[in-house]
Amino acid sequence: MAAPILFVALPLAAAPLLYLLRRWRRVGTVLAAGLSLCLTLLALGLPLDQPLALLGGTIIRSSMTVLGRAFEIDPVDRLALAFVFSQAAALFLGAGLHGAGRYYLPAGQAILGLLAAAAFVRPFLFAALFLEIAAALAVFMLGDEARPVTRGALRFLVFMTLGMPFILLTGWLIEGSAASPEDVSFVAKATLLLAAGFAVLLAVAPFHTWLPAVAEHSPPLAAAFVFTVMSFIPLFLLLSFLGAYTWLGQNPAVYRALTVAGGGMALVGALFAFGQRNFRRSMGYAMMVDIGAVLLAIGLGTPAGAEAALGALALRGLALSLWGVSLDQLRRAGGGDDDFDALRGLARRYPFASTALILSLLSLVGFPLTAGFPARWALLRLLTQIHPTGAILLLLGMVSVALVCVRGLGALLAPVESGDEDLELAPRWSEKPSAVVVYSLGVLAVLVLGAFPQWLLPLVARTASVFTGISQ
Amino acid sequence: MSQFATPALVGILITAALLVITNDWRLSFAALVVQYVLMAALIAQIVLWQVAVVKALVGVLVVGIFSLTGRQANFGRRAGVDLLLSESLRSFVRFEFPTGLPFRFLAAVMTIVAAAYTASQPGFAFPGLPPTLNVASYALLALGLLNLGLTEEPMNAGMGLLTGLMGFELMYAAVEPSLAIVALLAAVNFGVAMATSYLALLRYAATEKEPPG
Repeated sequence: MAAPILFVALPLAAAPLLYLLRRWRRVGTVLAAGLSLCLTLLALGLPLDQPLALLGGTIIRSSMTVLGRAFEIDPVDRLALAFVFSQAAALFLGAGLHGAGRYYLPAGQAILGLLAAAAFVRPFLFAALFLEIAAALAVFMLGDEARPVTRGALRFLVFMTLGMPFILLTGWLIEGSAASPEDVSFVAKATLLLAAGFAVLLAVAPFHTWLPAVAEHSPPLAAAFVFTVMSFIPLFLLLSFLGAYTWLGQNPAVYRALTVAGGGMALVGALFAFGQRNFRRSMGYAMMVDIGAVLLAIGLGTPAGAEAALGALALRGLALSLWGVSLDQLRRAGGGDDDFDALRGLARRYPFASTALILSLLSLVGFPLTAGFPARWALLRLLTQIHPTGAILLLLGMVSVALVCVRGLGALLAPVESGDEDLELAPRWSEKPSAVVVYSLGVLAVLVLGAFPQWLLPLVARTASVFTGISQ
Repeated sequence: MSQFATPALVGILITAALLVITNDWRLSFAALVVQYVLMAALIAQIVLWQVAVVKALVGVLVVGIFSLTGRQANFGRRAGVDLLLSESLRSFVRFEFPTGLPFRFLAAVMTIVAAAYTASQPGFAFPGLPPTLNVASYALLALGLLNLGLTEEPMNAGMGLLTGLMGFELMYAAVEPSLAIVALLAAVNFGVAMATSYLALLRYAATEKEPPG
């Protein structure tokens, strides 16, 4: 048996089963989250290419071939898979509280299988094809059947489709470069094509328009899934490219471009986030700042930079899953609207959801004492030494989103205006005990990981150390 | 197959331009299926004929998916609007054309001219591809992008995306002829078709909730 089959076929096979179980939401949630957790553990600990006494001496191979294409599991793939599957498990658990659409769990599981295939395929240029198929499946979870505005999902699909050809054509140029190493034009063209492809896939401005649109028009948990799980593999691919090709990984111009792109993203995110009075659009722009931070970290071109980037990515899932479930609760209470005005005074009825919502946004921003802080602090310290302008732009983005959080908190805590009978007649505290437990656990995790980052950072450092080709 | 190359190229340019010019789903579906078959005829010059047949079959199935969606969504027309039209007017307006028809026509022609010029430049022509395939791939990519730029309606955007993908497939077939990639590109086509069909249905359901007029 080959391990790639395990990680690709199991989630793909679970998808139709989860669709059949859509009426039994909690069963489906437990199954999806449980399978993702099991695969996380297997990714971290499954011994490969050696007899397993537990399975009667069966050997699980680390590679296989399908139609002439190799699928292999490297140590770095295993860590990437552990990141993706564990974050997906947290996001799936969120669906147990309020539901997230009938396609959320099945499409999510199928996407996990395809992302695993994207991580395993060799040469890894072909990962772009699996990413594109996963993007098409993600559209099913992003389409909100309750409020069918299709703009966000459509833009996401269009940009993912436009990014794919650039990555695939790079393979042809790399082969050309290998055949005639003296001709540097192949390498220059390949670098340009890769830059264009990753700019589109990573939503670098001006290809960022799907980020706020998805955040605004899709169910919050589905948007969180796309921002966390789907966004991880393109960044992982970028790191793999930098590590695998010396003409790319040791080209200072590439790191300069990454720094410019990251700083630009942080600035654009800061400018657009500043005036927001809507939690979902704010998240879209907060994501821009976060992506900017990750690009700035990779742009440092050092293992410490890669570590800071992976640290931010590792904790993005926690913040976003908490944001998804808590906003879903408040949005329902606000009559389907998530403008600050529609959510006025809801902190009195939903104190736990409100705390979770604000804290999750602050964690994504990298606010002190939250889970996002240690990685962001490390990045800011590195940036002040190497690219002070980048540090200022990132700080600007963080402050802008933090100000939006403060305004949102102000609206949630605002006294209910007299004459609003619905709110005045509503019970003082409306949260279900199960919801209180989930929000409390989420908030606790955000605070504890903020206070004790050493529990997670060794794993992040181990992953970053694999990308040895990153150095200027 | 090379004797069919020029007629196939002309056919591809006409169908791709038609997809930009019209927003009537029935006309667009017909144009798209013809475009897939002609693309398969062109690509047969550089790949095994069996692969070309697979690409044509993929196109037929993709248009099948679109047609099923179209039947459920009244081919993009609002049922209420149909009821408002008299019998004679309904037969007169058999097909729908957008209000910016002259602009779209001119834009399509200019795009084709620009694509043909670019494909004929030595620095931009894709090595290993016959000239007809070079022109077809550039024109399909450019017209697909133009179509995407002119619409926010999921079905038309989906057809624009698939047109662009066809252009890329023509280009990429010379580089990567492996069966795995053919299969994955087919899956990408199906994925885009299903995703845009789903979004088109969602959008149709939303417009049906609004009163006509």
